[in-house]
Amino acid sequence: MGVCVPRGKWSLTKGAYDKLLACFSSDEEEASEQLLVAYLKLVRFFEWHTCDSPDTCADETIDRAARRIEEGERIDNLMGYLNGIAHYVLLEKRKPTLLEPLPIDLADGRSFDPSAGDEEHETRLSCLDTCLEELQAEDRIVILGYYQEEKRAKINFRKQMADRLGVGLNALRIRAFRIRTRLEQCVVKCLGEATLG
Amino acid sequence: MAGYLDSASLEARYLLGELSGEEEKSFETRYFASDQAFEELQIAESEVIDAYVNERLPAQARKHLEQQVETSPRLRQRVAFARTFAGAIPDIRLEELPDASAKLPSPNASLPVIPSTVTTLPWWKGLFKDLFQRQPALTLVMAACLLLVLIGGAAIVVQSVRLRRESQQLADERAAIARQREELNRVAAEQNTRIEEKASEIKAQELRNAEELARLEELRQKEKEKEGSNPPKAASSSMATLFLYAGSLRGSGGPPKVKIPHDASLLLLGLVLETADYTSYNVVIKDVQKKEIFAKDGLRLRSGKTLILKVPTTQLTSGNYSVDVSGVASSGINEHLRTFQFRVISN
Repeated sequence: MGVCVPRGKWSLTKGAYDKLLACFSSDEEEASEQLLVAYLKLVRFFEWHTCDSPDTCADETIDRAARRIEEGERIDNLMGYLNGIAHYVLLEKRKPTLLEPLPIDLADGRSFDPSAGDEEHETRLSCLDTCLEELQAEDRIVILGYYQEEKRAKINFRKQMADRLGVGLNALRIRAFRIRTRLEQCVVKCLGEATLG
Repeated sequence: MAGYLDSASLEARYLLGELSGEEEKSFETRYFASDQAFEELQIAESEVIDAYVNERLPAQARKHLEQQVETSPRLRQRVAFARTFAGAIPDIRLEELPDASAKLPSPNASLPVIPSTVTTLPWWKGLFKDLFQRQPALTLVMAACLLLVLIGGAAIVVQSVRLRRESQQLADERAAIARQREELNRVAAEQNTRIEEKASEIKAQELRNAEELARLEELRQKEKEKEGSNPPKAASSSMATLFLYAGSLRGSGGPPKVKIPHDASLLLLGLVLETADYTSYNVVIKDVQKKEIFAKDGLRLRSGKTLILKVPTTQLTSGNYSVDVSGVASSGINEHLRTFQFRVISN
């Protein structure tokens, strides 16, 4: 998969940025939040389409949209417009390439060998324990209970958990995902601090 | 797909490259437009990663994900976390979760119900949380006493307010009644005063009328005597006059007295009645032995309620006399009205 390289000739000015924000919302704070969400969606999009440097490709997409807006193009559905530009960016960057071996420092998860990186695994495990302790008791039980057991029993157990909490199964699923996201962010931060330390 | 993922969702199929071109395009349009769809996709990403870590993905899906993971540091971090997390999950019992409902979940044969060791205190117990945990019986007794005091106090306050209100109402009613009574008394007093004044005015007027009548009769008598129409005994020019009132009392001095002059041939007797309800009146004068000495029928009232009689003095010697007055109705029925008393004193 190709690498996203910005065109480089046009750069986002403050005026163009303000016009871009104005397309999201007249309220600057709300517009900034929507721009951030749009950026995240673009990054995910490029990730799932196996683009290298999905951040750069997302920036390229937003820059192109801002340039069109500054040039006077009227855009009614900005998210739909970004979706379209992202596909163009993706098409431009898709060219047959050979998969090059990744640097060693990016090896975690790539080799899929559980024995690889034992030391980091221990550090990660320690961070996980710490981050679990930082969760509220109920959240901790929810996230651990949601992911324990296997297959059929897990599904039954999740249904019973949902009943006990007085929520639906999908609501439990969303709650577990949000707790997990906080846990993952905590572990990444902990790992970063452990690396610096 | 349903075999290795928790849910065969559109999102999971998208992530694993299993959608057609049109499906993918439609999905991405919705994903960009909706924040909720974005979150659903991220949840599906977690589930796909978990399936990958637990080696539940088929070969093709696994390869597709590995390609994505290779190019995304973020996905690499997520896979590493998922692997560490999967190996670190301790056993969790359902009973460790707070029970949102009163009843326990429906029994499952593979998961026997065990009484919960973690309790959530009701709000009223939370007030005495520490004390309750140390001395539950005492806390319950104190709480019950406090509740009784509160209930009793509330009842007393309510009763007190009600009684005060009723008392005020009674006081207001009493005051209103007192005011009404005073007003009635005042009105009654005023009316009595007016009645008395009127009665006095009436009596005075009738007395004046009777005196006028008596003077008129005297003048007529004098005229007749002058014309010589009456024989002597007569040549008497004086007339005695007496007015008797229906409302008057005998008093301590006895009946009204009249002094008849030696030369008076007639006693002009005026009887002032209380009512004037009859067509004509009959009068009978009797002496002390009840002997009739004078009678007159068919008398008409003069000037309101006064009957005028001319009684010859020859019949009236010193002594007490009674005067019976009866009224004659239009039907002819004779009804006794009153008996007057008077006394003759000879000159």
